Amino acid sequence: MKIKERTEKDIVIVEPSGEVDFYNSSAMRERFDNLTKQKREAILVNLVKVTYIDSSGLATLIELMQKMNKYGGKLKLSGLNQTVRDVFEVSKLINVFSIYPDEQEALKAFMTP
Amino acid sequence: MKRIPTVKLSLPSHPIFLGLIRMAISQVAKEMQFGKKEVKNIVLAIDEACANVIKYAYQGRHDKRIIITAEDKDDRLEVSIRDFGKKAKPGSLRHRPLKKVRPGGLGIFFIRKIMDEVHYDTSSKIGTTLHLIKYKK
Repeated sequence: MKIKERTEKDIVIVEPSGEVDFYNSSAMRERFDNLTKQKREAILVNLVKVTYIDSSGLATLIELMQKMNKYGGKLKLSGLNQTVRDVFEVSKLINVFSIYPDEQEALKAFMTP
Repeated sequence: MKRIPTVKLSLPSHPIFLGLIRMAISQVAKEMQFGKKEVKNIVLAIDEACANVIKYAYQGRHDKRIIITAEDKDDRLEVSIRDFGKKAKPGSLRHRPLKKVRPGGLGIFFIRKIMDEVHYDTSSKIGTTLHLIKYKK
Protein backbone atom coordinates (compact mmCIF):
# COMPACT_ATOMS: atom_id res chain seq x y z
CA MET A 1 0.00 0.00 0.00
CA LYS A 2 1.15 3.51 -0.81
CA ILE A 3 -0.29 6.71 0.59
CA LYS A 4 -0.32 10.04 -1.23
CA GLU A 5 -1.30 13.26 0.48
CA ARG A 6 -1.97 16.73 -0.82
CA THR A 7 -3.91 19.80 0.24
CA GLU A 8 -6.47 21.72 -1.80
CA LYS A 9 -8.07 24.82 -0.32
CA ASP A 10 -7.36 23.67 3.24
CA ILE A 11 -8.80 20.23 2.58
CA VAL A 12 -6.30 17.43 3.16
CA ILE A 13 -6.75 14.73 0.55
CA VAL A 14 -5.31 11.37 1.54
CA GLU A 15 -5.16 8.77 -1.21
CA PRO A 16 -4.10 5.28 -0.18
CA SER A 17 -3.64 2.73 -2.94
CA GLY A 18 -3.51 -1.06 -3.06
CA GLU A 19 -4.63 -3.42 -0.32
CA VAL A 20 -5.32 -2.09 3.17
CA ASP A 21 -4.97 -4.93 5.66
CA PHE A 22 -3.69 -5.84 9.11
CA TYR A 23 -0.12 -5.63 7.82
CA ASN A 24 -0.19 -2.10 6.52
CA SER A 25 -3.15 -0.33 8.15
CA SER A 26 -0.79 0.93 10.86
CA ALA A 27 0.94 3.10 8.23
CA MET A 28 -2.42 4.67 7.43
CA ARG A 29 -3.11 5.15 11.15
CA GLU A 30 0.21 6.96 11.59
CA ARG A 31 -0.64 9.29 8.72
CA PHE A 32 -4.09 10.01 10.16
CA ASP A 33 -2.70 10.51 13.68
CA ASN A 34 -0.34 13.11 12.30
CA LEU A 35 -3.28 14.99 10.78
CA THR A 36 -5.52 14.78 13.85
CA LYS A 37 -2.67 16.01 16.07
CA GLN A 38 -2.64 19.10 13.87
CA LYS A 39 -6.45 19.22 14.27
CA ARG A 40 -6.95 19.41 10.50
CA GLU A 41 -10.57 20.41 10.04
CA ALA A 42 -11.29 18.86 6.65
CA ILE A 43 -9.95 15.50 5.54
CA LEU A 44 -10.97 13.59 2.44
CA VAL A 45 -9.86 9.99 2.18
CA ASN A 46 -10.09 9.04 -1.47
CA LEU A 47 -10.28 5.25 -1.66
CA VAL A 48 -10.45 5.06 -5.46
CA LYS A 49 -7.19 3.15 -5.69
CA VAL A 50 -7.89 0.82 -2.76
CA THR A 51 -8.53 -2.69 -4.06
CA TYR A 52 -9.14 -4.41 -0.71
CA ILE A 53 -9.92 -3.41 2.85
CA ASP A 54 -10.25 -5.55 5.96
CA SER A 55 -11.49 -4.84 9.47
CA SER A 56 -8.14 -3.25 10.41
CA GLY A 57 -8.56 -0.72 7.61
CA LEU A 58 -12.13 -0.02 8.68
CA ALA A 59 -11.02 0.38 12.30
CA THR A 60 -8.43 2.94 11.20
CA LEU A 61 -11.10 4.99 9.43
CA ILE A 62 -13.46 4.75 12.44
CA GLU A 63 -10.65 5.96 14.72
CA LEU A 64 -10.00 8.89 12.40
CA MET A 65 -13.67 9.83 12.34
CA GLN A 66 -13.99 9.64 16.11
CA LYS A 67 -10.86 11.72 16.71
CA MET A 68 -12.04 14.36 14.22
CA ASN A 69 -15.51 14.42 15.80
CA LYS A 70 -13.92 15.37 19.12
CA TYR A 71 -12.56 18.64 17.72
CA GLY A 72 -15.36 19.28 15.22
CA GLY A 73 -13.46 18.24 12.10
CA LYS A 74 -15.16 16.92 8.98
CA LEU A 75 -14.21 13.64 7.33
CA LYS A 76 -15.41 12.49 3.94
CA LEU A 77 -14.66 9.37 1.93
CA SER A 78 -14.81 8.98 -1.83
CA GLY A 79 -14.25 6.58 -4.69
CA LEU A 80 -15.17 3.26 -3.10
CA ASN A 81 -15.08 0.45 -5.67
CA GLN A 82 -17.65 -2.34 -5.39
CA THR A 83 -15.38 -4.63 -3.33
CA VAL A 84 -14.66 -1.94 -0.77
CA ARG A 85 -18.27 -0.72 -0.78
CA ASP A 86 -19.47 -4.27 -0.05
CA VAL A 87 -17.29 -4.40 3.07
CA PHE A 88 -18.73 -1.06 4.26
CA GLU A 89 -22.25 -2.28 3.55
CA VAL A 90 -21.93 -5.63 5.29
CA SER A 91 -20.49 -3.95 8.38
CA LYS A 92 -23.26 -1.31 8.28
CA LEU A 93 -20.68 1.47 8.06
CA ILE A 94 -21.97 2.75 4.75
CA ASN A 95 -24.27 5.25 6.50
CA VAL A 96 -21.86 6.07 9.31
CA PHE A 97 -19.40 7.84 7.02
CA SER A 98 -20.06 10.67 4.54
CA ILE A 99 -19.32 8.85 1.29
CA TYR A 100 -19.19 10.41 -2.19
CA PRO A 101 -18.83 8.79 -5.59
CA ASP A 102 -15.63 10.64 -6.45
CA GLU A 103 -13.15 13.22 -5.23
CA GLN A 104 -14.78 16.15 -7.04
CA GLU A 105 -18.18 15.46 -5.47
CA ALA A 106 -16.62 15.19 -2.04
CA LEU A 107 -14.67 18.43 -2.49
CA LYS A 108 -17.85 20.18 -3.63
CA ALA A 109 -19.62 18.94 -0.50
CA PHE A 110 -16.88 20.43 1.68
CA MET A 111 -17.46 23.82 0.04
CA THR A 112 -21.23 23.68 0.54
CA PRO A 113 -22.20 25.23 3.87
CA MET B 1 -16.13 -31.57 -12.10
CA LYS B 2 -12.60 -32.44 -11.02
CA ARG B 3 -11.72 -31.69 -7.43
CA ILE B 4 -9.09 -29.06 -6.80
CA PRO B 5 -6.10 -30.60 -5.01
CA THR B 6 -5.87 -29.68 -1.35
CA VAL B 7 -3.80 -26.59 -0.71
CA LYS B 8 -1.70 -26.44 2.43
CA LEU B 9 0.26 -23.38 3.47
CA SER B 10 2.61 -23.35 6.43
CA LEU B 11 3.69 -19.78 7.09
CA PRO B 12 5.28 -17.66 9.78
CA SER B 13 2.78 -15.64 11.82
CA HIS B 14 3.91 -12.43 10.14
CA PRO B 15 1.16 -10.22 8.68
CA ILE B 16 3.28 -9.72 5.57
CA PHE B 17 2.07 -13.17 4.48
CA LEU B 18 -1.63 -12.29 4.67
CA GLY B 19 -1.51 -11.21 1.02
CA LEU B 20 -0.15 -14.62 0.04
CA ILE B 21 -2.94 -16.36 2.00
CA ARG B 22 -5.54 -14.18 0.26
CA MET B 23 -4.11 -15.05 -3.15
CA ALA B 24 -4.14 -18.79 -2.45
CA ILE B 25 -7.68 -18.83 -1.03
CA SER B 26 -8.95 -16.66 -3.87
CA GLN B 27 -7.51 -19.08 -6.41
CA VAL B 28 -9.03 -22.15 -4.74
CA ALA B 29 -12.46 -20.52 -4.39
CA LYS B 30 -12.39 -19.33 -8.02
CA GLU B 31 -11.42 -22.78 -9.27
CA MET B 32 -14.28 -24.25 -7.23
CA GLN B 33 -16.63 -21.97 -9.19
CA PHE B 34 -17.79 -19.81 -6.31
CA GLY B 35 -19.31 -16.55 -7.53
CA LYS B 36 -17.16 -13.43 -7.80
CA LYS B 37 -18.68 -11.81 -4.70
CA GLU B 38 -18.50 -15.05 -2.73
CA VAL B 39 -14.81 -15.42 -3.59
CA LYS B 40 -14.13 -11.93 -2.25
CA ASN B 41 -16.12 -12.63 0.91
CA ILE B 42 -14.39 -15.95 1.56
CA VAL B 43 -11.01 -14.28 1.11
CA LEU B 44 -12.02 -11.59 3.63
CA ALA B 45 -13.19 -14.17 6.19
CA ILE B 46 -9.99 -16.24 5.96
CA ASP B 47 -7.84 -13.11 6.05
CA GLU B 48 -9.62 -11.94 9.22
CA ALA B 49 -9.25 -15.37 10.83
CA CYS B 50 -5.50 -15.44 10.13
CA ALA B 51 -5.07 -11.87 11.38
CA ASN B 52 -6.85 -12.91 14.58
CA VAL B 53 -4.40 -15.78 15.04
CA ILE B 54 -1.52 -13.29 14.85
CA LYS B 55 -3.24 -10.79 17.14
CA TYR B 56 -4.72 -13.06 19.77
CA ALA B 57 -3.27 -16.59 19.64
CA TYR B 58 0.27 -15.32 19.09
CA GLN B 59 -0.29 -11.89 20.71
CA GLY B 60 1.50 -10.10 17.91
CA ARG B 61 4.50 -12.42 17.67
CA HIS B 62 5.69 -12.90 14.11
CA ASP B 63 7.94 -15.91 14.57
CA LYS B 64 5.27 -18.56 15.17
CA ARG B 65 3.56 -20.81 12.66
CA ILE B 66 0.15 -20.81 11.00
CA ILE B 67 -0.95 -23.76 8.90
CA ILE B 68 -3.81 -23.11 6.49
CA THR B 69 -5.46 -25.99 4.68
CA ALA B 70 -8.06 -25.43 1.96
CA GLU B 71 -9.98 -28.47 0.73
CA ASP B 72 -12.42 -28.83 -2.11
CA LYS B 73 -15.20 -31.09 -0.82
CA ASP B 74 -17.33 -30.80 -4.00
CA ASP B 75 -20.31 -29.09 -2.38
CA ARG B 76 -18.24 -26.96 -0.04
CA LEU B 77 -14.89 -25.38 0.67
CA GLU B 78 -13.37 -26.39 3.97
CA VAL B 79 -10.59 -24.27 5.39
CA SER B 80 -8.77 -25.07 8.58
CA ILE B 81 -6.42 -22.68 10.33
CA ARG B 82 -4.09 -24.28 12.84
CA ASP B 83 -2.11 -22.30 15.36
CA PHE B 84 0.11 -23.30 18.25
CA GLY B 85 -0.51 -20.29 20.46
CA LYS B 86 -2.87 -19.24 23.20
CA LYS B 87 -6.03 -21.31 22.96
CA ALA B 88 -9.14 -19.60 21.69
CA LYS B 89 -12.06 -19.34 24.10
CA PRO B 90 -14.91 -19.82 21.63
CA GLY B 91 -17.56 -18.57 24.08
CA SER B 92 -15.83 -15.23 24.43
CA LEU B 93 -15.35 -14.67 20.69
CA ARG B 94 -18.17 -12.29 20.00
CA HIS B 95 -18.27 -9.38 17.61
CA ARG B 96 -19.36 -5.95 18.72
CA PRO B 97 -22.95 -4.87 18.07
CA LEU B 98 -22.87 -3.13 14.68
CA LYS B 99 -24.85 -0.19 16.05
CA LYS B 100 -21.99 0.57 18.44
CA VAL B 101 -19.55 2.20 16.06
CA ARG B 102 -16.06 1.71 17.40
CA PRO B 103 -12.80 0.33 16.05
CA GLY B 104 -12.30 -3.40 16.54
CA GLY B 105 -14.57 -6.40 16.79
CA LEU B 106 -15.44 -6.55 13.11
CA GLY B 107 -13.12 -9.43 12.18
CA ILE B 108 -15.19 -12.01 14.06
CA PHE B 109 -18.34 -10.46 12.59
CA PHE B 110 -17.07 -10.94 9.03
CA ILE B 111 -16.00 -14.54 9.72
CA ARG B 112 -19.38 -15.51 11.17
CA LYS B 113 -21.40 -13.55 8.62
CA ILE B 114 -19.60 -14.94 5.58
CA MET B 115 -18.85 -18.56 6.45
CA ASP B 116 -21.63 -21.13 6.85
CA GLU B 117 -19.93 -23.05 9.63
CA VAL B 118 -17.36 -21.84 12.13
CA HIS B 119 -15.95 -24.26 14.65
CA TYR B 120 -13.06 -23.82 17.07
CA ASP B 121 -11.32 -27.07 17.97
CA THR B 122 -9.27 -26.65 21.13
CA SER B 123 -8.82 -30.38 21.77
CA SER B 124 -5.12 -30.39 20.82
CA LYS B 125 -2.63 -30.06 23.63
CA ILE B 126 -1.32 -26.83 22.13
CA GLY B 127 -3.20 -24.21 20.18
CA THR B 128 -6.43 -24.14 18.22
CA THR B 129 -7.71 -25.33 14.87
CA LEU B 130 -10.38 -23.13 13.41
CA HIS B 131 -12.59 -24.95 10.91
CA LEU B 132 -14.44 -22.79 8.40
CA ILE B 133 -16.89 -24.10 5.83
CA LYS B 134 -18.55 -22.38 2.90
CA TYR B 135 -21.17 -24.29 0.90
CA LYS B 136 -21.78 -23.76 -2.78
CA LYS B 137 -25.22 -22.37 -3.55
